[in-house]
Amino acid sequence: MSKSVLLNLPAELLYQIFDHLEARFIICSVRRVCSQFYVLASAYNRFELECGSMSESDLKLVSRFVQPENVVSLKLSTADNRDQYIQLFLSYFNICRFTRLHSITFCNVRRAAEINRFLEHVTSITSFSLTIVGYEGERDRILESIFPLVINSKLRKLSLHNLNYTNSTLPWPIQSTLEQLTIQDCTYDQYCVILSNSFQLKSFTMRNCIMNTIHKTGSSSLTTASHLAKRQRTSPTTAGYHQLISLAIGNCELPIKDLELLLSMTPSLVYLKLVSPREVFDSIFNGSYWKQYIQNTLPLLNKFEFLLTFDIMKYDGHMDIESLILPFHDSFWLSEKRWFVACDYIINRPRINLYTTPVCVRSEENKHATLQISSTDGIVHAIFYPITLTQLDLSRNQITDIGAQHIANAFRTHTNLETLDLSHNRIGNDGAQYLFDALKENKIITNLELEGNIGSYCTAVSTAILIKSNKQTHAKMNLKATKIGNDETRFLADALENNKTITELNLSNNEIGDIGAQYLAHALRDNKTLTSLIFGCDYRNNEEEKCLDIDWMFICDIISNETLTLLDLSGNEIGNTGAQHFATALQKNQTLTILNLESNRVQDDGMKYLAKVLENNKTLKRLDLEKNPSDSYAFVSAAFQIQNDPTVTRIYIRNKKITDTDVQFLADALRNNNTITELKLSRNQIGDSSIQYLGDILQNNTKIKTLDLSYNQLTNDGAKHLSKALKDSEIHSTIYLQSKKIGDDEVRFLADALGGTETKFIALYLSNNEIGDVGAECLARVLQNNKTLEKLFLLHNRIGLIGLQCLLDAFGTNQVTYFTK
Amino acid sequence: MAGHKIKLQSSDGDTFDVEVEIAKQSATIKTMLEDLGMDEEEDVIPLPNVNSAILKKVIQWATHHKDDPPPPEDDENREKNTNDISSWDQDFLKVDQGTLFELILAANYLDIKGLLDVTCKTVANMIKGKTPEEIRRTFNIKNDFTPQEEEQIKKENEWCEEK
Repeated sequence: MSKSVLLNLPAELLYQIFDHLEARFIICSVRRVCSQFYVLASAYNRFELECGSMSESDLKLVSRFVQPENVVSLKLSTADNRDQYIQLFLSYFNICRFTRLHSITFCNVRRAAEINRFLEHVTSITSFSLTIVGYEGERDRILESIFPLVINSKLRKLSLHNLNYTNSTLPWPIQSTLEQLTIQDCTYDQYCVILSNSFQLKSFTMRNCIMNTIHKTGSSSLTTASHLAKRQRTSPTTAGYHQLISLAIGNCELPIKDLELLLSMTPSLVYLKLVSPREVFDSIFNGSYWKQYIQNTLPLLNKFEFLLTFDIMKYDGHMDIESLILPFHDSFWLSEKRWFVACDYIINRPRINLYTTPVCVRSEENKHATLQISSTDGIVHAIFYPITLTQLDLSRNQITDIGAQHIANAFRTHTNLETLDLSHNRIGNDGAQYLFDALKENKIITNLELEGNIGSYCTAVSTAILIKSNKQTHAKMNLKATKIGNDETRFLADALENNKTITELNLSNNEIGDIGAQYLAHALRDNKTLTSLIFGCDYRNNEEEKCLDIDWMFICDIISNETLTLLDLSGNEIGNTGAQHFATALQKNQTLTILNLESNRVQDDGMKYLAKVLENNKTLKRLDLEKNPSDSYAFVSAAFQIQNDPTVTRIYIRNKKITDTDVQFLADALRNNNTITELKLSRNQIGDSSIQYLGDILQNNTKIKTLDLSYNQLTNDGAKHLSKALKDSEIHSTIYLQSKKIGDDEVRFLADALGGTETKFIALYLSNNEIGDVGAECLARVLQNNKTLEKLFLLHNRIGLIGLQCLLDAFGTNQVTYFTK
Repeated sequence: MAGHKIKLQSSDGDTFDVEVEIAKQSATIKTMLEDLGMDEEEDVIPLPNVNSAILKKVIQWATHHKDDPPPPEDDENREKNTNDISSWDQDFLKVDQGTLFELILAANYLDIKGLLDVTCKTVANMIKGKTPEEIRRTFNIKNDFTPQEEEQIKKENEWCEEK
């Protein structure tokens, strides 16, 4: 711990502390602390009086303790309507005793007479500065007050803030004490006059120099002011005004040629400061131009500060800050002059700031998003204010790939930003790639908006970053028809590899091919979260239109990850070979429950591969195969449902050209089924052999309550097989057998079944057949003993009056509804 | 060029490698380097008036402010504004009084205008708005006025008391 205490500081340092305290406070408080402070305060001789804010009693107090000789700076203000304040001040202080003043400032004085009243007494001061701020009165009146002072006193520095010296009829006085001058605007001619008449003027600060028409047009006619200038000029422009060594222009609007003319008059400049908002992107931004100009015209210049700004919206060409800074990366700038230049590309505006460092003008634009490059290293840095921002909106700018690269680098390890909106810019694929590479490891950024950019990668990168963050709120990710191709899939695959939130991914209607599928397969090999992958295509309206034609091996790989339960590949180009791959994969897979292969190219052979899967696969409940060029699709799908989906109770396969082979396959699936209650196979091509096969199954099945075999190829043998099966089965409720094929012979067999002791028919549909009186008699005979049949349909047969009578007789003892021709 | 370093030696013998451009914020060191030709890498600049702890702080300050524009030579029109201390400087100067005063002494000895200015402003802020008694308490200053002197001053300052 240090032992230094305040009182041990040397007097000079204590005075430096006093320099920051008000006069009244030094008198009333500091002076009364201890004897040492009392002595120091009494001897303090650097009082700076700010009288504008003092009340009259304070003024009285200060005048009592502060000797005018000990005041070095005086600030007088007539603000707050205290017009008589200067008069009041003069009543308390003897102005002639302010002999050590080196600075007098007037603030907000409205009338020149007020200033004049004061200034007429101060001509005896040896060397001082005069500042006038916020003067609101008539300009020439104040100049009339000041110019005699400039001539008669030893004024060293004159600052006339907010005061223009344009079109004034008052000639600038000739004098030899003024060293520093600050004014607002002046014309080129008056600038010349001031330089001509101020022999000692070393430093000139102005806001803007205004070119007279004469110099713009080159006309020989002279304005009054330029006339004046010519008449008063003591040395020709070509020789230059060598006394001036410092020039600052705070808001220079001169075109480059006029600026050249202006600077050429002061060849001895050591310091030049130039702040200039530019209307055009001219050579003023060119480091090589400046190098040449300074070498030729301003050889003594050793300090050059500038801030040049340009609104990019006014520029049609390509703005490249790296090229802009390159000329400043030259030994002239870096080693010889040691002027370091930086360039900001302010993204939000958008605007270019080219400036020397350290920054000569503080800019509010620091609060924006900026790309910054310095001549010292030539590396672009992206800077964002405030540093802790969590959301950054840079949408609807002109950000290109290079800009995206810099932004990407800036946020590579940023720990706060959650949302970065770069939508509606000009980012292409390179830019999107940079963003992905840089941000993929940043776990904070969740939303990277890239909509409305030119690169096709943008959507995928934006999505990939969201997936990578593992913070997306929806488990379903829909990327349907987002023009994702192979390259784009790469980003998604990378992101999905370790994702723990997305369960459903819809990539349908995109342009993913073999390579993309390979990326996905590789990524999903280790993904244990994604359960549904929709990879279909539903916009194929005609057969000519090509959808995905990829090597399905890769997709089959995805199935092998044992996580996926739904895979939708509808509307693709899967053919027999593809089907074979899937069949192989499904043989081993025990997780996939839904596979949609609708609208593909699978033919009969392919269907056989798929059908074979049933032997080992017990989990695939739904295999959608509609709109494939094979008639077998319906029974293959049905077989999977029958075998593997216990929730399915009805199988409808109507008009699908089912052949005997198919029925046998279906029958095998039904063999151990306990859930199907309705089996409707109408309008197919089921023949007698199939009926036999099916009959074998039905004999042992107690669940099927409805069997529809109408309009098939059932004949005599078939009826026999069916009758046998139905006769021995335990429960069959409703049988549909409309077919135009059943005649009296066939009915005889069926009647046999009805007469069985175990049969429990409720309804029998035999309409649209060839049943005649003989058949009707057979039916009538067995019905007399049947206790269960409630409905018998015999519409559109060949039953005559005899048969009808038999049936009526039989029905007389039963409550059977009947229909006949 | 940037990166070139010199060695500064504190009063307690520790040496610190400092970039020339940073060290040159001290007009004292700048003069030593330029006028005395001490710009060889091996040369060690002795700073017998600054101890290691303070020198370390000074280097820290100078490093942070290396890109600041040079303070204006002509400050006769400056405002009496002590509220313009940057937040970094405010944090930097949250130190015990002894360290603060030693920093003032070091800034003065090394002639670092910016540091001297900000440290003096900080002390001025500690004084501002306080009564004499409060100032005494803040800086542990003894009231050494005799009763007669006290009476005399009180009389002198009666206008202040009235307010």
